[in-house]
Amino acid sequence: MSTYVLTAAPPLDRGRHRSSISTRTWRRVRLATSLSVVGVATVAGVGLGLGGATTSPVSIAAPAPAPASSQVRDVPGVVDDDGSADGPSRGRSHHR
Amino acid sequence: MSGPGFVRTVLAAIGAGALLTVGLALAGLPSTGAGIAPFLAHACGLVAGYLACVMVVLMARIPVLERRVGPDVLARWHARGARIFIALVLGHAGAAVVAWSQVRGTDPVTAAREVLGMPGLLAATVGTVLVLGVGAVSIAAARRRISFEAWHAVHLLTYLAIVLSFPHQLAGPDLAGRPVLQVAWALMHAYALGAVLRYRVVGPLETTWRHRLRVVAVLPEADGVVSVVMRGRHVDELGAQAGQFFRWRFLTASTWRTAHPFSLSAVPHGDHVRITVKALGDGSGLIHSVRPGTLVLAEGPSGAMTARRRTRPSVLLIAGGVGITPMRALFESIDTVPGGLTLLYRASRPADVVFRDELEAIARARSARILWLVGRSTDPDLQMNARNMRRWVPDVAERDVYLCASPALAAAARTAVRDSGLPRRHLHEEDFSF
Repeated sequence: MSTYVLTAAPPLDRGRHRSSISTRTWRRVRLATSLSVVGVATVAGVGLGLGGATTSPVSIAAPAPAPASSQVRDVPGVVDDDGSADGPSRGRSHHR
Repeated sequence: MSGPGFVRTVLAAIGAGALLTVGLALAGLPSTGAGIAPFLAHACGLVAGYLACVMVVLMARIPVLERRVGPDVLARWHARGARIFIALVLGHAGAAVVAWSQVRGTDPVTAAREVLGMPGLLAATVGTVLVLGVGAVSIAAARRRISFEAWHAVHLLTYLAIVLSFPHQLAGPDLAGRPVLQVAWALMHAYALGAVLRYRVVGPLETTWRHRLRVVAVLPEADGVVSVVMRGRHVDELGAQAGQFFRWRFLTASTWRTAHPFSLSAVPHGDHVRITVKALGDGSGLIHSVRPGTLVLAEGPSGAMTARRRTRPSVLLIAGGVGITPMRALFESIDTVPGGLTLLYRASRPADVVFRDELEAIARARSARILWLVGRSTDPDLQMNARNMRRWVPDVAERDVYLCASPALAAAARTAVRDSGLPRRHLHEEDFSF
């Protein structure tokens, strides 16, 4: 059985306080790190979300009649009421 | 908020998010012409996307969840949620093909081929295959055949699967063309992955830079059991409590790839911390060979089995084998009334007993009692049952009980204390076998 008593300094621990910062400063560094990650995630999320607005939508539901006022453009891979294949579009009302 | 209250709140928040997502699927359906298949496809797909983020967050090692819910509980939720997630993904795919075949009036095979040709579907399908692979290696029968390290490496593919399926999620009819919802959905994913980045990648690097933990000694304790003593700076800032553990990554050529959860086997003393490890698998076996001077990455502290859970004046600690490690730290530090602390230590052989000298010294210093239960499990006097438990600790029902042992012994001890009249809320344990 060993006894948990250590008195000798570890051999690779030289200069252990050389670059130490205070606990308060360290907490600030950690907070700043967290906020940086939140900031990057926010920018990435907003960017991806807005970028996704240009993604070609996919629907497997039956198409619904388009409102008369909507600007109907074609959607790839989606079938219109007349059964024809679609082209590019950002709208959604016509491909339901 | 109490531990159970906090747990209920977290579960309620997860459930509320799922309901909100189903509502989103309902709102996204066209007013006419939609059958059950499109709704199932929408709802399963959206809830699966939401659940993927929840699964990631549960495993992101967010400190408040790790300390107040407990990593073993989070791992159980993750495992159960993952089964639901896989079922939802398969349900989404199946319902989408059926819906498309109905719309097109074609057979399911043709419909499946056409659906796969839609934008983003190929990548999403690859993601689904990856998730199914991860699920396959997590099935108990497969899990037993592969090492923890291999299982963990395969699990990392889940992140790739989420990234691959993300464009398909944004292109879904419930989100596409609705910038606010698209941004909200993307933010949910970004924050989930951001939490992983913060707490699983940056956190350990930060801790390493700040604390510079290095191995200073590897001490034999019992057959196949060693203590690893590490020294660092500002160790008090780690905020580690008795009963908690860290995930340790020893930076040697053979051990740096995987972090292993090991409990502190003593309350941190000054600038030292100590863990005690039994060689049970490939990773823990290699840790026996680390040398003094090895740099260590530590993630934590984690674990809710601390003195904070104690609400009664007297405490019983139950340890089995190497499960003594967190109990040793609690035995040293947990507050009780004088004479109100008992340690029940079960081991198969005298050679398996760890910390005998230390435990006896602590018992003398704290006027605590140790019950050594050493011998074969066939001995009726050593069997963990309610009759013996009441004989060993007559007031067990009036104490807080902390338990750490192998799954079989833990199950027997759980039954023994519950059958002895201990209310469930006063039994505190963590399953370290995840």
